[in-house]
Amino acid sequence: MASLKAPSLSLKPSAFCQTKSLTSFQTFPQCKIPIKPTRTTNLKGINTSIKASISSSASTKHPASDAKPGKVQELYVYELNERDRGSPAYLRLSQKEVNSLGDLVPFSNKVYHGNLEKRLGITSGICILIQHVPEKNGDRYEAIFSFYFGDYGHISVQGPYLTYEDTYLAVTGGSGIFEGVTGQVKLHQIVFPFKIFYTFYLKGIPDLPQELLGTPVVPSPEVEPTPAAKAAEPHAALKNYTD
Amino acid sequence: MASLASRSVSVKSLISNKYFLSSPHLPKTNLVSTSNKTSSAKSAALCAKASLFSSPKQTTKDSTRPTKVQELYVYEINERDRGSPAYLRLSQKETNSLGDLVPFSNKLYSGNLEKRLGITSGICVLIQHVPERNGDRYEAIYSFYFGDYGHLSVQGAYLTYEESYLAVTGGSGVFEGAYGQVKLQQIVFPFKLFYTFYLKGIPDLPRELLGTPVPPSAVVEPTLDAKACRPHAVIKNYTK
Repeated sequence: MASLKAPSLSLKPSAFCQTKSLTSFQTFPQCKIPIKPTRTTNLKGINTSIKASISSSASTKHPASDAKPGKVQELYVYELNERDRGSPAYLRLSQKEVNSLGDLVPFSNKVYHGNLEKRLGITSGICILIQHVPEKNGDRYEAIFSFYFGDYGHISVQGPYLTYEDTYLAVTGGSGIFEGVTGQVKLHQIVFPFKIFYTFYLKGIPDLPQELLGTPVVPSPEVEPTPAAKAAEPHAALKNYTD
Repeated sequence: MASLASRSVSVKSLISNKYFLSSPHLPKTNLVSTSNKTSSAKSAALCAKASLFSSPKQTTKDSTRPTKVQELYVYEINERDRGSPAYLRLSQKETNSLGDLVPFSNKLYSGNLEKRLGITSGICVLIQHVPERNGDRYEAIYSFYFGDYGHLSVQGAYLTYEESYLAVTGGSGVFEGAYGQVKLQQIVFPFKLFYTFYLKGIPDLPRELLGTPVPPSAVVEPTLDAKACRPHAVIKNYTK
C-alpha cells in the first residue's frame, strides 16, 4: 500500500475553534480508544433482534411496501463531542495560518436521542473547509457524514456546515429501517463545536420505531445527556448502539 | 434561518463547557419536564417552523415512488495495478487513527465474474481502530462506474472485520434516481469485495448487468478474458 509522507501538519485544536474562543485546551486530548468488551454484534442482524416495527429488514428482498411516500417524519438527535474519540482531527493541509480551502476535518461524535435519555450511536464523516468567513468569524464547510443508530441502520447526509448559523443538509440515503430515505435535516449548532441539535425531516420510510421518537429537550448550551445515557447503561442505550 | 449561535453565546458556552469537563457531576438541567413550561414558546416556535416542511398527513395511497427492488451483484477487485489504496497517515500516529484518509480505486466485475464493468473510486475516512476485532471502522464515500451505463454513488460504514450496508445516494445514466442500499461483503481484505445492491427507483436494468453471481469465496477470480478486457468480456466503454 502506498503511504504518503505527510507534510508537517499543524494539528492545534485552537485552529478549529473560532478565534474568539478560549484556548481552553492547548493540546489535543490523547486519542484513547476505549476498549469495550467484545460484542458479538451483527450490525445488520435486523431480522433477528429488533422488535420495532420494521417492515423491510435489511436482508430481505421485499420492498418497504408500507412506506408512505408523502409522509414526513421528524426525528430529533443530539450530536455531542465528549472529547474521548480523538475527534475532530483538523488536517491543515492548506498549510496556511488561516483556515483555508484544503483543510480537511474528519470527525466522529456521539449521538443521543433528542430527549437526551438514550445513547443511539455515533456520527462519522468529514468536513471539507471551503472558506473562512471573516465577517462572521466562522467558516463554511462541506460536510459529508453519516449517523449510525446501532441495529436500526444509518442515515447519510451531505451539505453545508456553517460554524456561525443553522443550515439544512440533504439526506442522501440510509440503510436498515432508513433504507430508501429522502429528505433534509436541520443542523442547529448550540455550542461550537461540541453540541449540535438535528431535526430530520424524513420521507419514504415506514413509521419509525417508538424508541427513536418523542419530545426532544429544547436545545440550550447547558443540555447534557442523563448520566445513564452517557454511561450507555442497557436501559439508556439502543441495543448494540454504535460506538 | 435563525442564527442562534451568536458569538457571545459561544464564548460563554465554552466557559461552561470547560467547567463541565472538569466537574462532570454538575446538576443536569433541562430535562424535559422542568423546562417545558418556560420554553413552551420556544418549542412552539420550533414546531411551527417544522410544520412549514411537513406535508399534511397523507391518507391517499400516492405511490410517486416505485418500490420494486432490483438486485445487482458486482465484485470489486484490487489487482494492485492502480496505485490503490493510497493510505494517507495524516493523523501522524503509529496506529490507525481518526485523521487517516484512504483514497482508492479498484476494478469492477460483474457478479458472474465474466465481464469487466468498470471501476470504483472514492475515499475511506478512518474513524476508529477497533482493537478487539483487529480491524477498523471507516466512513466510505465512493462510486461504482459502469461504462456507458452510468454510475452509482454510495455512502456508509466500511468495517474491515464484518459486512455492512451502505446507502445508495444516487446515480446517473441507467441508475438515475436510484435509491436503496448495498450490502458489502469483504472476502479477502482488502483485495476482494462482493456487493449486493438492492436498487429502487430505476427502470429494469439491462440484461448485461444481471445474472446469477458466483458465490463469494477467497479463491474467486475473474475469467481470463474479463481480466484481459477482451471485447466480448467487457461492457461498452467500460470505465478504466
